[in-house]
Amino acid sequence: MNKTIKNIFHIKAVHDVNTFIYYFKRLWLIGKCIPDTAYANDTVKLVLSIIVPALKISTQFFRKAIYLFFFIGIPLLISLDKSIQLPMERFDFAVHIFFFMSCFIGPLGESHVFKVEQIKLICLKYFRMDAKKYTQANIIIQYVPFMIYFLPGLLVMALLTGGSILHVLLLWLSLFCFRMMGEALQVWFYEKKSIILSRNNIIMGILIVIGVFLAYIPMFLNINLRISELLFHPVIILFYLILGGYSFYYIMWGYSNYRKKIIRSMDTKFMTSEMLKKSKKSVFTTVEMKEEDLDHSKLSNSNLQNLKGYAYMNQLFFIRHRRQLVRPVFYRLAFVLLAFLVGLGFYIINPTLAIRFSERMDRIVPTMVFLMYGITTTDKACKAMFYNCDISLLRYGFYRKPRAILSNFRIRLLRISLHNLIVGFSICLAMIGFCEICQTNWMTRGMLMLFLVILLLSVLFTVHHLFLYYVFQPYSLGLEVKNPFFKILNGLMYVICYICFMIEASGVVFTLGVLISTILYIAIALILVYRFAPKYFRVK
Amino acid sequence: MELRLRGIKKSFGEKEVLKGCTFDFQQGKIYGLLGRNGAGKTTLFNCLSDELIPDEGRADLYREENGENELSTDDIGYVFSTPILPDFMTGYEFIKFYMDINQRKSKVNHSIDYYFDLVKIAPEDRKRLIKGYSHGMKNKMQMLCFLIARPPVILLDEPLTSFDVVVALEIKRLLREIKHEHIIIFSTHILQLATDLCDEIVILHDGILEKIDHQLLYKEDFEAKIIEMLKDEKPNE
Repeated sequence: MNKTIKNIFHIKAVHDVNTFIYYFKRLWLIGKCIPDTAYANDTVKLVLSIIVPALKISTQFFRKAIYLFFFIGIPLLISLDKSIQLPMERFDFAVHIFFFMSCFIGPLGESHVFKVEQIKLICLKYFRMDAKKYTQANIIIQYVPFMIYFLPGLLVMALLTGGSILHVLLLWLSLFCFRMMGEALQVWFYEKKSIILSRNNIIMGILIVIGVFLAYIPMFLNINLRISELLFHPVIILFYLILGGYSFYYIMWGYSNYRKKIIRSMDTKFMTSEMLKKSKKSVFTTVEMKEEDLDHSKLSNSNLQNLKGYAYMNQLFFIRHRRQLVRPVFYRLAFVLLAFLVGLGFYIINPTLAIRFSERMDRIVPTMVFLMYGITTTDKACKAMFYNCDISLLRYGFYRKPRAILSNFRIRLLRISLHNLIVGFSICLAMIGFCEICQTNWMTRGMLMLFLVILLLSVLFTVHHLFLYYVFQPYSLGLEVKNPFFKILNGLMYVICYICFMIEASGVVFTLGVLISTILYIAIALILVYRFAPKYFRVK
Repeated sequence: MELRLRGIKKSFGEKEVLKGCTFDFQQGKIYGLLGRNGAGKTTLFNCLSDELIPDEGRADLYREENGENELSTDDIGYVFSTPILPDFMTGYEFIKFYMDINQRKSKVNHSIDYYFDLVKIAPEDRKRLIKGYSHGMKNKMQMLCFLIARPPVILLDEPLTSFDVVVALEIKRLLREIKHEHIIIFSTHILQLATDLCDEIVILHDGILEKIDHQLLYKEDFEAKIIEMLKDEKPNE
């Protein structure tokens, strides 16, 4: 096994160092200073083979600490801040959450035996390493650091919550035992049913809901499940030590079918999606087309036959991307309806306050700026356009011609503006409805200006995203955003909207300001698109 | 009509792929562009089709009636080695769309089905989504694009390798049939294909284009000589 561990470490080191150089080279400005020969420089690679793992190890310690702080520290701080009476001591509280998150959800939700990583692919598929030896070595490689990374965080947790060292060690040991039980269960289940539990979304969904529920809800309902008492009881300790020990034996030496099963478990489709997630390209899945999107029956109602050229192509695109482009509109309409119903409930419960609110509704312009920024759907539409349409057609000369680019832009702008205007219009209607219920006059100058702001903002954010897409075309083949100006401008827009949300400015001057800047922005953005898109709208 | 390349250079980082390609390609001929892996055949095609901007040099199209003008994307039909087509359309819809936007350029007015018949795409496949097409079928769709638009310059980046023998033969026949009106440049690794189909052989080696003596095509030791020439090149991969 030592030889296999050594080999895996060697492959991992080469892979990590090359990946590091590759991504470093792609950094803005700094990346240009790294020559192509860096890959061949043994000294640089030797230094990096020390630095890269050191960086990885330190981040892992940090990540485990963050995990403990996020899932245990924050709920504890909230309970202290809100003076919620807990039915147990602080350390017991931490143990309770830790048990459900790390000893219940964790072992079933993640399996290092079945986890598909690039290294596994390289070792098993390309280098034809023995699957059993690889799995044995991998269990050691994964779990030894895993346990080490957790220890400091658990010690600090005990220190802050009043737990003893002995309890921390027992908790640590239980973590290992439950992890092994989880792995053994997954291996056993795959052998029997050919299903990998941790990849089954339904099982995982149920498991997470139950786990999170048990982790947080009982104690806030003043119910003590006495997890720490159970976990530190000598009989239970013996019980999980035996089970954990046997599970470890089973996954390391007891199970004999790795050679046959592991390769089969590396489903190509799953691997691709995992790799994409790993490389932070999970955004793909949000815009990716599915078979059902391509169902021809959906075309029956459209007037496609009368359309020609780019109008025809775009119509097809919109019909076949309803899931990505139209469904979000329906979700937003449902959200607006829900907000209206909440308003109605508000009126029923407290009419005086509801009426007062309806009378002052024209003061929510600043909030609306931020809300409309969040509610418009154009960003996702641009990604879908790029990944499912432009990425292929932009390779054709005819599609890159200024006339074609601007014709497409016009059609898309109108179509997506319509989507966002429907949402904006529904918000206005909901507001009118609420005013009618409260018998407040909505035909005031303030309210009419608010409606105008909402509708114009719907157009503004459509133009904003399309403008950035057409002028900077920021997406790479992997849908990563490559253009720094795109990031800066997008961030700036967010900050401006957020500032509008945070400042409590209101009144006619502010509303007029929003109106004028919206109109100006739309005008300037359109001019810039017509001026620069023909030149810069390319696949980078 | 002539396609005139003058000193086209293109580098990627420190790697100089095209070191000044100069050549005149003439109408009515099919040119076989030979080169080893990584020699820069696709880079040259990408520079000509405006997908890449060359670092130096220019490409012009000389016509007797118009004189010399800079090569534009309208003048080019480019068949990629890996076909890239919009997955969300059916083959039929894509061809309809393509015919719509090339209506003015198309000299003859054929039906959509005529074109499908031409490349032997079965009627039941025409209304299937391109997403489900095989590599060969996608390649046929790309072929249809230049058959519809009939641009003066046609660049084919190793296209025939994915076709079955019947379609490959059909496409070869088609290329021979239309070559009189076009300049066809055909990149390939397969020497036999080059000798069989092409009127002239151009070698891209060490970043430079070099024409092979036409007489050499018919000599017995043609293959051996070509391999010898390409061996001189430092492999880029």
